[in-house]
Amino acid sequence: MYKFINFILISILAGLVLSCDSFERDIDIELPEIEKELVVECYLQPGQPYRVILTETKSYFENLQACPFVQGATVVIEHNGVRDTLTEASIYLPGSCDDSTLSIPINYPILLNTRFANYGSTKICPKDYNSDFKLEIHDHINNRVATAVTRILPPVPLTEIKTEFDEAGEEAYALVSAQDDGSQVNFYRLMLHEGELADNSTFPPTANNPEFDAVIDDARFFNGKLVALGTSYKFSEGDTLIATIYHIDKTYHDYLETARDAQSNNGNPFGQPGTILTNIDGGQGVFTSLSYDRDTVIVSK
Amino acid sequence: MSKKHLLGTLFLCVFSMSIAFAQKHTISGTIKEKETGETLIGVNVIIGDGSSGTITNEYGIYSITLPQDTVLITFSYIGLQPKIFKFYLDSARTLDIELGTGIDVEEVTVTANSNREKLNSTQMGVDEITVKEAKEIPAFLGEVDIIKIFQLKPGVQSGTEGSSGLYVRGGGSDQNLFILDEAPVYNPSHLFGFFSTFNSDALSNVKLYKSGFPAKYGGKLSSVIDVYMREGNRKKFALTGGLGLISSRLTVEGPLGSPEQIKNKESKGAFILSGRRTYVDLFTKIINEANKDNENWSPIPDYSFYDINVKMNYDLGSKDRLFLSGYFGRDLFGFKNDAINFNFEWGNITGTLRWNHIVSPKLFMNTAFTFSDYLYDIKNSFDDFDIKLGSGIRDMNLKTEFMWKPLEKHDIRFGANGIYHRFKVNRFQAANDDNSFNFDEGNFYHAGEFAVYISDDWQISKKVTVNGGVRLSGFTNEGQFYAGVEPRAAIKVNVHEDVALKANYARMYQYIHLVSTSGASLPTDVWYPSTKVVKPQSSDLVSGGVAWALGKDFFISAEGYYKWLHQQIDFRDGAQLFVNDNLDAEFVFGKGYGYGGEFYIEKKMGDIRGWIGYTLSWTWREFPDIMDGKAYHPRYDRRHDVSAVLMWDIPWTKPKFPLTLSAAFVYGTGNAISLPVGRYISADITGENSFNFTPIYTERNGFRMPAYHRLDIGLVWKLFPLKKKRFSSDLTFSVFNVYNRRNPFFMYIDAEYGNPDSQLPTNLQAKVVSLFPIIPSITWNFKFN
Repeated sequence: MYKFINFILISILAGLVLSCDSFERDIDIELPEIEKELVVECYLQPGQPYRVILTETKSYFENLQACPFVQGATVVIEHNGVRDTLTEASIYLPGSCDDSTLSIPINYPILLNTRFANYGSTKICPKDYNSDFKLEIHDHINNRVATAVTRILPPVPLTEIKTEFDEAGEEAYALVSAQDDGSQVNFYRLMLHEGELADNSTFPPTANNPEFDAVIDDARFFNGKLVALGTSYKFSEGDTLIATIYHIDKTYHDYLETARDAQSNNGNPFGQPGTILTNIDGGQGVFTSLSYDRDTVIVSK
Repeated sequence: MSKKHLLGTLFLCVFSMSIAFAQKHTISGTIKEKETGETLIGVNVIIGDGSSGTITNEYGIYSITLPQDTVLITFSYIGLQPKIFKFYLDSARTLDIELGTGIDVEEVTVTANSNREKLNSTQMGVDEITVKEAKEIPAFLGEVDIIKIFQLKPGVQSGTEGSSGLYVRGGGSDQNLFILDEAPVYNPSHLFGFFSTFNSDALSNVKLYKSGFPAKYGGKLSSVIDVYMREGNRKKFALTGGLGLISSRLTVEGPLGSPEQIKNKESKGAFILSGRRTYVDLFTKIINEANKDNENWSPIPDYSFYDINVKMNYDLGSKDRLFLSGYFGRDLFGFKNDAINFNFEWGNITGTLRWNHIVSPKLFMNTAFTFSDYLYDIKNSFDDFDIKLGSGIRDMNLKTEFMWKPLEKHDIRFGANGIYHRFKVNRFQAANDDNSFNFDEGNFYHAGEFAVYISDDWQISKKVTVNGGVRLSGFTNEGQFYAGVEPRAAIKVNVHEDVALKANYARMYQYIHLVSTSGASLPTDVWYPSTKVVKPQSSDLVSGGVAWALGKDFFISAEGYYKWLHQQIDFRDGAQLFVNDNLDAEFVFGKGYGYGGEFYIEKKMGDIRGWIGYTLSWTWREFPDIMDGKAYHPRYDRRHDVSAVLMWDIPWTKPKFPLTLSAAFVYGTGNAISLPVGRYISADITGENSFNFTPIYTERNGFRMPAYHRLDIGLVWKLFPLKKKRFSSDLTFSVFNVYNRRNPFFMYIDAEYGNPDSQLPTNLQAKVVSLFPIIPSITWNFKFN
């Protein structure tokens, strides 16, 4: 019996050792070339100037050095019959972007972890919740056109940022909440940052690496109730917590959900990649508004 | 013709018919295994030279009507000694038979012509596996899994590597009807599909219907997997079990009755209780405990699963038997630390109360009440917050079936059933101690499903047999009513005494649907009823082929099929399936179709046994809302699928050191997979790394993973077979994936960085991820009686 048990244990160990061998290997595959489309990212913010990131799609295995930015395009934002043509804003994107050299623009790497744009205007976006904003883009070099329409939504106020320490009094969790209006369908993006928001000169304060960043559809169980999200015990006394709730429209919600699905499905054996939903007619991306409420608390006992 | 003459002619006809009927008598009875007293399913009852005969039904009962004459009748079953009777049939007879293996292993004589049974059956597209066969075939981690063996049959594809999911002739994994002792099992797998819920020690045999579905079955589109539990030993108490790498099994069985009856081996019934449990969690607990003071240690979550099967049967008289059986299985996943207590539990419960009644030698009745329940529950406690999420389905089904042989050439079955379904869909509850947060969402649906059916297996002539039937089914939910007519038809023409041509057609309706985007069998998949928006799925399947009994041992078949799938369900892009009260809005509807051919050669007897199967198939789906209606392949579409299974009782090792060597080889075209063909940068409002590309998928499942192939080998060594002891045992060795093939589980494209600190990738590289390398295992099985 003793020998038998030994044999079983040796079998288990042999199995484990062999199992530790690499489970992953490289493989050569061929992917087709795709037709390059315009990609727009434009977030209207009342009180802030218009800014647009205009890039184009690339074939997946295309040279990573290939410049993604679309140059020489006409970008127009129209509101209440007033058309504002954005200029290609070298102040937002210093340096050159020359496709012929297939090189990343000198300053491109430093744009990592910051927000940037390559088209902008000095015109300030009005706080108008009742009329459309229209985007029109003409890429004269490749003869491409993209258009989109959006509206600005009124912000929804945060109700509370609650913190509570564990029994040992060492770490606290945070709970951010806001009241949903049950009389209409709402979508939110709720974020919590710890520390301070990045303050680059290009955009109003924002930051990456949020503690959480959730896209919420109130039809799913928050309808008419308190919209609340919490963290685990992770904050210490004196920490600064910044909560933001963006009141977003359905198109932005759908774009975010499908884009996140697409990103997470590359590498997920159980995922089912789908099409990224967009409100850009003639391209990819999103044209939407950012209406938000933000609050800051210092974690205290 | 005058009225007088007409009446006279009619009288003569009726009189001669009555004379003809008067000259025929019925032989009927129950066939049991001698050693255990358990009824035997599928025993060949052969008349004379084999030109006519029947088989025992799923309850071990047979009935055959023959002309008054001298009768030579043979009862034979694989692995058991046949019994032959010769007598003059001059009245109806009850002939209850017991078939045994003989005194010694060497005396086991196998003469049953299993290839004749398959040849003579009107049914096609049926595969049957006995537990004995299953135990000889190499098993993953030594866990005998009778469902996985069906993946080695043509027309049946597995899903992902190691999964016990079945994809039958282009159908989805949710389109299989799993039945355990008459009760449906809604999630027949453990550990995310790596093992099935069926403990082989508790089973007798399993049948898989791929086409030509008998009218008694309905509710799912693509296949029926009918699993029969053992009845328990009627003659003596027995203890069987096994120790494997990841689990142990123990089964107790014995007779029911007074001590006197048991002593005289005349018990009126039997019981069986069987359990299986994994013990990986016992090791992980020890490892976690050993590292509890290590601050850098991340505790390994606890995981285990277990199954309990129980069955009792009792003879209420010579014509009545009562059965009570049940299954209880759970998967348990738990994680606990100072702040969080996370528990995830899922599993099935089934129960069956069944009454068999022999109304007359020609009429048999089976009535059953079944209960089925599948649920998953996630419970998470965080400080004073409690979160619960769960879904499930619960059925109560009352069914009755009659098997009637009114005439020599007719085998009629008719019956009815009614099911009450309760669906618990995305039940979400979250609350804290002071009740300042209190969410309680989710839906319950209460639905009814019913069916009535009739079928007749009619031997028109010695060469032609037809099976015709119809099933009328209906479903009601929230005031919405759906009904369907499901015709079933099959024909067999014996063009030669060894060759038969067969064809069949079946329409099926499916009123309940599995909400899953994963393409795999996950415990969190939700069963959802037909509603006003979600209409029932249906299918039409035609198939035809040739069956050839080559000699006494070989059976060869070639079949082709075409299947149409209507009202198929998928999900819109960006669908929210998790905690969504309005799932109806997330569905999109389309159609599917599949076609292919299957070749199969089998040898069931002798020292060398096994089979080779090959499938060439195409499977398609078309949804107006997916890829603008362009047809695409589901993941499990597999152009070529080859399987070969060999079992060899090594002759020179008998009788002192009997060894059975087995091998199984599989080859399949790689699964279809979606890969991104484009990408763009996205700053988002957070200014995240712009090189975290957003991928663009243009075509669903437009690429193929590398081909899948694998060889497994096994060896069964019976220990001390010649010692006449009450204790016997064997060692089963198996090696999974002998040549250590890195088979694809999934593929993705990874960004590679020349400088680990850089956020700028230098290269994009496709990767294949594999799960299982070569894995040896050993299992010790024992029996004490």
